[in-house]
Amino acid sequence: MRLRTLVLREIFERKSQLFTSFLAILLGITVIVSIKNITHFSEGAIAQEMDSLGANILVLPKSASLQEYYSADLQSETIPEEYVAQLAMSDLAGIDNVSPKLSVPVQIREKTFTLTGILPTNEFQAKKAWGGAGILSRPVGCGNSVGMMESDDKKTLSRKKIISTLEENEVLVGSEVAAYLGLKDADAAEADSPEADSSKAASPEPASLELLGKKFTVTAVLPSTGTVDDSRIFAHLHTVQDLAKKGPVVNAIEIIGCCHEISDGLVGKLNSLLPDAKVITVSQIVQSQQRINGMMSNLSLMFLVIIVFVGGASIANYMYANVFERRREIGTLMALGADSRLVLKVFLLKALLLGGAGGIGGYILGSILAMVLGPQLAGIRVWPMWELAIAAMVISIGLTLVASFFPARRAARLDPCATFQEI
Amino acid sequence: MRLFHSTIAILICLLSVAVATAQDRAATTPSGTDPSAANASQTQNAIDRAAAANRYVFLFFWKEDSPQTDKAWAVLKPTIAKMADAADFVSIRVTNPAEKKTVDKYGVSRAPMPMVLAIAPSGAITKAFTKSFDEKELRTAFVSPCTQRCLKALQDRKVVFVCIVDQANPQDKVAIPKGVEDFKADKKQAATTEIVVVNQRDANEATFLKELEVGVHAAPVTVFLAPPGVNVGAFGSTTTKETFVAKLAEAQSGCGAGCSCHH
Repeated sequence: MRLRTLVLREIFERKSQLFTSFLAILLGITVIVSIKNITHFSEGAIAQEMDSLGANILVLPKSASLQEYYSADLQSETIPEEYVAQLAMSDLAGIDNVSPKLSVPVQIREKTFTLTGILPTNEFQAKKAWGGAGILSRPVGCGNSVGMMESDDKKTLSRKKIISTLEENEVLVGSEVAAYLGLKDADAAEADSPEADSSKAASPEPASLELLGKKFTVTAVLPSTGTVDDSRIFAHLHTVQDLAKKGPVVNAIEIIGCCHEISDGLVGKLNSLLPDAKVITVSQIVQSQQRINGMMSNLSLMFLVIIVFVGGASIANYMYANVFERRREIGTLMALGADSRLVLKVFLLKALLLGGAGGIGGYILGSILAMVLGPQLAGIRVWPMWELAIAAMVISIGLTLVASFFPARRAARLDPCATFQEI
Repeated sequence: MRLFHSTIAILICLLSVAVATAQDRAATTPSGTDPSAANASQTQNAIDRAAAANRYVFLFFWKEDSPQTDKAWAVLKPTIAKMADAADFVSIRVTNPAEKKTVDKYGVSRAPMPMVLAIAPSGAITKAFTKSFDEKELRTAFVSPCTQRCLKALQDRKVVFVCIVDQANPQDKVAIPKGVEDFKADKKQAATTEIVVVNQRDANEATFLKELEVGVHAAPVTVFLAPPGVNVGAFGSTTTKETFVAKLAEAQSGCGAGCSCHH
């Protein structure tokens, strides 16, 4: 009888016990793979969000949670817009750019998008020059940007997160919105771009969009950023305030602060300047999210420990029981000439196949679970990771081999004479 | 009954004080006209009159009767009296539709209130005070003529060349560095360039020169300023137009080191 036949017969000898052991490994690996997969893509999504944010300090309402801010800053709480003027006129060093936002949901046909009000820099940057003679000695550098002759290319919004001018009837649309509306770059009424000028000749009427009962001219279609900004429509802050009937308020103020001044306590000074708001650094948000990710990692580690103990004990028990119940068959096999190494091989190969199947099955199930739950639980797209396939196989096979080694060794050391005496 | 009369008397007194305070704050100018009733042109006339008389004008913007408004007014009122020879005052309630033009002109509809803007005779806003301030701070709004010109140009989004010269006789012809003249002569830059000449011997400009952080006897030197208030650097008289253009482009190119430290 060949080794392969022996192994296959051994595997299917006690199907119910085999199934429970396989299930223990499969479920353990599934949970580990799905948690690790979601955590990995969640970290990636945060890094991308942080990159796209551009700002490193956020001014939020006292009661606003970070979760609300992440969900397209649509929180109901607001802060007064006058904070923007206070920041612009303050003598705090290290504030390089200020970007207030007010977001409201808007329905376009069947789909809901976010209308975000932003304030062009030309409307508050001049207030920086109200600081008196003290401003004349500010050196060029972070926090002291030159504010003249900026490019009026509206598309810089997606990259720089600020815009120098924006009329009250103009909107800039994100790439997803543009795709939904069938808008192309050439449809926008961008003024300064030479490409747009040539396209305008072909399409004299710039695209228009009606939002909350007001007609807007689409000034630019923003390039895709892979972030929530793709599904936004940007308009002048004061227009959005009027349409939303919310008064002179904003949901959040994003600030680009200079590193040196942040280290020197800029956040504390901002907290003193705006005592009724919550001033936090983006690093605090990152740390907070990292803590959640850390908890997820610990959770997967806990599952790993459980699978090692429960799965390992289950397999070892199954193998020991198998060896004990089949000692006469093992003795017969050895009496027919099979040596100890062959018996050891049979049991270890069985463990290897069990572990391999558990690893592959757990990886496939875990990846599917992550792809289904990722968008629902964390709001992110999750794809299978081949690195996890290797880890799943190593853990699963390693565990079954270790758990099966001692029962297999015991089987290999059985004395055929002693087993026959028991008959 | 006596208690009732006393209470009524106290209430009448408090009401009188409140009315008097409100009327007091409503004084447009020291002459005592009502600012809330004044329309935009009257406010602008007050600003123009002050400029013609080479006087500063302090615009007091307020939104509502609040403790902060009362506190600011309590500081302003005695200061108004002391500065009567050098400055006029205009009180503007931002919610008054008649003041919309002035409010929009200065872009203060969404500014923290109360707020005081100090306007120099040149039209430059020499200082903005919000919420709390004292007399000493209000006095810092008075600046030298050259400072006024610089601030005005920067507020108009112009670059400023402050040419510091050493003139024994103020009537002597001033030699503007060639690089500065070439810059100003460039069609692209002409409309957004201002040249301010400062005699380092002028005692009135000593504080201004100190602000620019140039030595007392540094002349001839040119300080290059860019809006909204950035000191691009101090340059010698041989600096070329190309160098100024390059320095300005460099200053505009980004926020400098340390602007992306959130990772």
